[in-house]
Amino acid sequence: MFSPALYLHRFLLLSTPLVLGVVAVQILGPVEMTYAGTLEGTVHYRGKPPPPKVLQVIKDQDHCGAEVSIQSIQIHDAHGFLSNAVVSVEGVKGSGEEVVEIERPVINTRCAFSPRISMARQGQEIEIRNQDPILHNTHIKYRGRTFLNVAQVPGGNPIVKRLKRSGLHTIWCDKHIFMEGSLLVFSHPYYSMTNQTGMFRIEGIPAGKHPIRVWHETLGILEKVVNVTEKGIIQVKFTYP
Amino acid sequence: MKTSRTFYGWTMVLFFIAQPAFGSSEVSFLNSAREGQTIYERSCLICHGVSGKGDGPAAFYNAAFSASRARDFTVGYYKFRSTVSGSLPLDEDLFRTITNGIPGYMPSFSGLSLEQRWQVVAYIKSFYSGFQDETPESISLNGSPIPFTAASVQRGKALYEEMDCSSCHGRQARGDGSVALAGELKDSRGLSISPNDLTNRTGWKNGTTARDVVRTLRTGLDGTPMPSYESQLAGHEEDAWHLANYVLSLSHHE
Repeated sequence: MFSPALYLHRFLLLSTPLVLGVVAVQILGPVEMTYAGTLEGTVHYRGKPPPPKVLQVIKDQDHCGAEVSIQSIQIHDAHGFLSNAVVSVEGVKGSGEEVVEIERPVINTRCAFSPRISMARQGQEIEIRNQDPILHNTHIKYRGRTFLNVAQVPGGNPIVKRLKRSGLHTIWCDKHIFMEGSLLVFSHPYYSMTNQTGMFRIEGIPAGKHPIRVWHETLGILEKVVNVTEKGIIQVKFTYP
Repeated sequence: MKTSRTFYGWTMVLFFIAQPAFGSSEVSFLNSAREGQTIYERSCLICHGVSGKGDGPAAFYNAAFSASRARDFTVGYYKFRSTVSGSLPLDEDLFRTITNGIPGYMPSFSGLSLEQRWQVVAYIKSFYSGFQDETPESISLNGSPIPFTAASVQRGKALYEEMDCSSCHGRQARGDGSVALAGELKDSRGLSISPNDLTNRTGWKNGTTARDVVRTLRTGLDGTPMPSYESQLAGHEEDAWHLANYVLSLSHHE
């Protein structure tokens, strides 16, 4: 038999939790879900590294020396732990948080860029400084196009420029061609660089299968797909060549 | 007959539907670019190529193993600008190059009407998508020139040394600095490139007035080793004029 009171009772019983939920979200904001894992690992170089590249200095020898030796493959102990390799998670989007607007320094010092290899988040700024008593020009190229080519006299003004696009930015000085560097810009926060012992760690990665990419300035790119699990720590090892 | 009438009818319907989707400026740009393409194919293609990559039939023979090869319009960097280093040029910059040409490399196209030159500008921009979403960052170059006096030239000479221009251009400014003589200077394509001989004004690609020299100093020449000195001149822009006066003093001018 149809009873309006019974129907009203059922309606209130079913709809009240929904209304309370909506009110709670409005007051407290969306609930944070932590579907994220951590990636840890090492990058290795197998074998004996090639001899360093030795370049003659033809300008400013008083300050830069007569020749410069560049060894991009920096390994440590018999296990061949490789430093300065950049590890990143591919195919993920930014976590939605605001990009912290810190300035990433690119310093001309003792006729080299410091750091030689650096990383930044898209939207951050780089600050270029010259600490040498000689003129340098910092020339940065991105996908074949000049990103910046600026002269800096000794003690000159620092130069700040925002990184608008993700990808590899190559850095050099035309006056001292042995001065080289690389800046990798990412559209997300999931990247890291191997330390002196070849280790890296990336936290807060969304769970799922992701291609993990390793970039090294002279050894190139390695990639493998890794299943990142929620709240887990995944170990991964990469080996060149 | 009926088929062709139907096709024509639908084309007109689509045309009228599509028109409001574009603003009047976009329609006018597209029309300009279309006209510009006709002129480009007649006048520019032989060096800059069908697809604007700077690979036209004459480009390679003009500069087989050294710079400067014809501009590749698809990459988005330009030497001759009034904008900061790394920025796209203003339309006026492209117009100026088309009008003046580049001594020794590109003829002047001042024979084209003003409208035709702007149409070519519109077509050149269509080769690079960045023109649609980037705003060029211009440098204000409206300052008053400093008169060409002995004192100004002297100050400019000191700045020439201070800013280490001689590394590339040489102590006598003949384009024979130590870095240049070592053959280490390359353009963005990896081709050998020589600094300008500042004692021979006929080869100055970016113009020969004091204002042109100031513009070159402040913007640099993207795609080449010539850097921008803009940040170093900030707060004492008059130094750029002194330096320009010194550079002008090195060459005889009729």
